[in-house]
Amino acid sequence: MRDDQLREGIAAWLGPVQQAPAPDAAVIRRRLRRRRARQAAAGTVACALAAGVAITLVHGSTAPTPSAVGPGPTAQEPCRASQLRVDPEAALVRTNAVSMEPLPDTYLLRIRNVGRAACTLTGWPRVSIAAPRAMRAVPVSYGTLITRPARHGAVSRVVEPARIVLAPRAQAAAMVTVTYPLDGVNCGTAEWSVTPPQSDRPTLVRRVRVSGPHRQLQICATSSVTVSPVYPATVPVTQNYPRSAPQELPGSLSGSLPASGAGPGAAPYFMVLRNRDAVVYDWRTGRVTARIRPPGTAPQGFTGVAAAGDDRTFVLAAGTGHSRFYEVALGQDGTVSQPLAQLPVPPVASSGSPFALAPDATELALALPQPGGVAADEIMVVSLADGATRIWRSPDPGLVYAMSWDDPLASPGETWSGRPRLLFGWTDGTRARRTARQRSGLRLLDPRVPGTSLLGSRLLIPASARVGALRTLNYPLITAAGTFVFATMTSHEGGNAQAAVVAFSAATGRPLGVVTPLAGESGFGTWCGALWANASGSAALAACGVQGMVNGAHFGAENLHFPAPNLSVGSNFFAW
Amino acid sequence: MPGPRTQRAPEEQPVARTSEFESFYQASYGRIVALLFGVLGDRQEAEDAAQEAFARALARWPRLSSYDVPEAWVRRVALRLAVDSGRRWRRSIRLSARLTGARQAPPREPGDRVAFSDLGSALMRLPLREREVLVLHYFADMTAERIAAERSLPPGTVKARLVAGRKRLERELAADRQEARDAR
Repeated sequence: MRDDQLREGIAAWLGPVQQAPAPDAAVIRRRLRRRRARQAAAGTVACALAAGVAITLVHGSTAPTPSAVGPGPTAQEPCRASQLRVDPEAALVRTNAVSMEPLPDTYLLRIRNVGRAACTLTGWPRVSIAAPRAMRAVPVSYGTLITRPARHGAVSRVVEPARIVLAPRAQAAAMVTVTYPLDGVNCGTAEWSVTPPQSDRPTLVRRVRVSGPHRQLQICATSSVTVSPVYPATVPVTQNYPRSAPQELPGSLSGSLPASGAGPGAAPYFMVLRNRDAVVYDWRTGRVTARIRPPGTAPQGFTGVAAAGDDRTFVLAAGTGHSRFYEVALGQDGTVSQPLAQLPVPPVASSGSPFALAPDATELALALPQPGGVAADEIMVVSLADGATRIWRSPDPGLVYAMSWDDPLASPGETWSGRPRLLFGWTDGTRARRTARQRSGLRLLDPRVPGTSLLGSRLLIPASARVGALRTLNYPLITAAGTFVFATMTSHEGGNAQAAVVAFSAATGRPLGVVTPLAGESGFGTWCGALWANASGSAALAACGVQGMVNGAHFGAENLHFPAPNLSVGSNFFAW
Repeated sequence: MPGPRTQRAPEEQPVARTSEFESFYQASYGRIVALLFGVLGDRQEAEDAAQEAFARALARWPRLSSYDVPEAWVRRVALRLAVDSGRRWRRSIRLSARLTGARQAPPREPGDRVAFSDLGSALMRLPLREREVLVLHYFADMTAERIAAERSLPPGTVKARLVAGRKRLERELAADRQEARDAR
């Protein structure tokens, strides 16, 4: 057969397939949405494993006695069945793994508080199983074995969260893992469901897979079911929570800068304080899409702005002395879709002090200055759902000068706890200079860890860090996935002040590279810092003398229409 | 300092980009599915892999749209998915055979509504790696060097697979002809 004959033969055979009309593009969009949902679920499982969570095969009746009780938030009213919504069908966590042995099936079971008040769910994640008799004979085990690294080797303990507080709209999740025996060809053909505690709505875990005359409800007695909790965001565990969670990021995170050429997908809008107002710009065009006037109670104007991770929600501070905080939402076109709404933040003396809004806009972190002084040695995190507060204090005076949240849900490697961490700049003011030097720098506060000491946070990048002639750290920005920290560093060699943005590894604190050109800081100085970074940190926007995009270690100048001021200003004069 | 931002979902991208993707999708879908069908011999698997590849492309469309030939990216991803799918299928057949005690794997049914020509049937009996390069070369009109670049293989390997595939295909077709003659 000649080449052209072969070519024609294949074309004739495949021609009808090629000519067939493509399904609607909506199919692709639906598929993408499903894929993202699967990835989120699979990420939860993978990261639970990566975090050192191993599922124990302990029967419910022999579950160990709670070994520790964390401080946790104040107990709320028990959840009522009408307050809880359970997914009607558990999501199967799909895997591409291939094995000669039957792989376990993992389902994600979710329960949500749809009421207006927070409530306590007791017994999570214990479930009752509704299934054929044989299925009920299958042992169900609960609990997780958490192994965390310690100085003298790994420390393991069994924990079994028994009580969690569900804020309004918060949801808890559990993994239901069914393991089949090797010879279980027909195992798991039975339909069965589970009902979470305090709920009267069952969740279908598995449909019947066999139909017709061969329909048989089978389940192998040698199967086993394990139910283990996952810790989603905003769900504090009030009992049996480990005293300290692993602080190191998973080793899978990259310790080097991403490859160049990674295009930015920057959020299109940023907000800047101008005179008394807050002005919204489209950075691609420089067009002003909205101008927000301060409320009548704060005629002096806004004093700060922070942004959530959705490109739409911003929090503005207004008022002198005791600041009030307001939320504003933008629409798709950058105009105001929801007007200013005051937030349930206690009126604290925080005017001019940094604050940061959590990526999911559920929490606001505030640096609290001491009355009558410039020192701000307390950080208060306020839940914007119910106004609950938690405060971390430093035993010695000091100054919190900047803050930035990461977003564990954006990271495939850190979804185990699901709670964002707060990066903050700290200058220690204790009299002992050596101690002050050892404490100062960019610190990472993990709200999962019990305790109220600000210095219980991890010192990620010491203030003594040097990158060539560059020193001092300011305007830190941690990427959502917790991979990189961008910070401004300055050099004063030869009396000529210069500044640049430096990227650090958020896992090790190691400097990775200078990502913007050096900008002269003579005279009044030019503002220099990272403005925005995408979740992974593969792309960022920065202004440092010139404005532009950072792709990997490569900086490309571009007009971002950012009105960079010529004066030294506070860290909350803009939000991206 | 303001919090970091996350990328906007592609569903929210401006209308222009969305329609740009749809045009690309409508123009390329048939070619990709036909190519995958030629490799896999299963219409549903081919459509599944193609749709998965397009979904991934949609997730990266802001970047992909700046490529000279975005279809090459989709083709590469789709082929990888298809090859993985083919391997998974073979393994599952082996597992099934082992569990049920069957000696041979059941024959794979051809995809729906697509007749297998003699050439197509013979092609399906070729090893996956040879079939893949034959389809890429004779259907997608790709040179050996381009196939090598897209599949991350040495050019020599691709050429060797092309030659071996051609020879094996000739043998299969000859055997088919002989079988037909014997049947008569």
